[in-house]
Amino acid sequence: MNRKLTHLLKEIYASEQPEHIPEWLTEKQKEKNRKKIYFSAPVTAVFLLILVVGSGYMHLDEVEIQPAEQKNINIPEAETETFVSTEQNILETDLQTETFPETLPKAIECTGINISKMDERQNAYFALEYEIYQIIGTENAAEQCDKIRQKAAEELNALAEESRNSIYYEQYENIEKELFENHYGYPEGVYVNPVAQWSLMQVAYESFLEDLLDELEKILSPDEIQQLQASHEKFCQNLEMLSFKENEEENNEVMEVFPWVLTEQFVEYRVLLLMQYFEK
Amino acid sequence: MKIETEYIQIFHYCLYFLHHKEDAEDVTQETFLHYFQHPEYQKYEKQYLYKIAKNLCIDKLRKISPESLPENLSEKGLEIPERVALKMAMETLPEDDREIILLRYVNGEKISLIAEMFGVSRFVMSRRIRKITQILKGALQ
Repeated sequence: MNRKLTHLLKEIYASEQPEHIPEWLTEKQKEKNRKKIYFSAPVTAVFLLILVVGSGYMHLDEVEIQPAEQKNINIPEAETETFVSTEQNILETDLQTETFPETLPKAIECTGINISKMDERQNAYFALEYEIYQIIGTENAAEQCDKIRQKAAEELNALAEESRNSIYYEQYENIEKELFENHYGYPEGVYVNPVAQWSLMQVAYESFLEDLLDELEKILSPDEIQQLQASHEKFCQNLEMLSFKENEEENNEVMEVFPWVLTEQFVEYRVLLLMQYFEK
Repeated sequence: MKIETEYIQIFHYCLYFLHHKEDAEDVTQETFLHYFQHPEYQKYEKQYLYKIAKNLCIDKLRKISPESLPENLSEKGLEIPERVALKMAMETLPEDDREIILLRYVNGEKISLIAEMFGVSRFVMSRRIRKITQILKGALQ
């Protein structure tokens, strides 16, 4: 459907082409390319030098990931596959460049907050969600999903246990309760279907997540903020991947609904992960 | 990205605002002239190209009297019902939403760039695009 939409939109808005492209512009392009070559050589040399010198020190500071942190992290084979799709629409083009999961980053300890470990954990959880995402619609999917779902639920529960002491946990717990009590913002007596409920829940969790990030940024150093932003970017990309199924299989109601649940869980997991860092 | 591709994308963006091919070409050229004359813009790359183009289009529209506004280019060849439905659905969207759709699906821009242009997070923009496409898809069915 996205491909069709893109095609029709292009027909409407991009049927006209410019008569010609000014020559001075192509000259500028050549100039730009030349600059790139001049600049790239010295920059690469300096970067390599820093890398060689830096790697010697990095071994001294390297933080080993404790076995306890690795429990429940079973990375399925599919994770190393590059996303390649036969469809050519824009959404897919974005996804094609993604490799899941990226090589786990080295742990970096910064004033007790270890964003890399959080990312590592998040990748592992996403791996579980992604496993479900892949088998939706296949034979015995329900049974297989149940097993993976159980694993994901255990991870989620363990994290909720860890985050229970956070001052934000109460606020977080109230989100669902308040939505339910306010009848999801609809007038009393109006039937709110589960899809609408899920999507409203997701929006509420996402806003809470944004607030958490703002609060975290207040207590982090500039370096940590940078890491957190990179981590958030990765989370958004993963979330987009999970959401994609609904676009691809929108004619099938089950498939349309299921990723909503996945993305909601994924956001919830992220919220719980972030919450842990307030107590450190 | 090749400058020729960027030129065509900016041209389509201008055409969306001006509905006039020659005017759109003039403004596109002017956009690139401004862009290259001010090195400070170049560090922001494409985001600024769009910003300059939009400002120049607004200036241009101010100078054109409403009576002399040409016919909408996209009116041509609307015999396909789906196109009519999509066009009507697009017209019901708020101005910003239409611009977002044009940037995303016609020009194929990344969500991160559109998010920066509108001053929101990638997260929020992604959700907004999803919502708008649902409306458009609804119109097509």
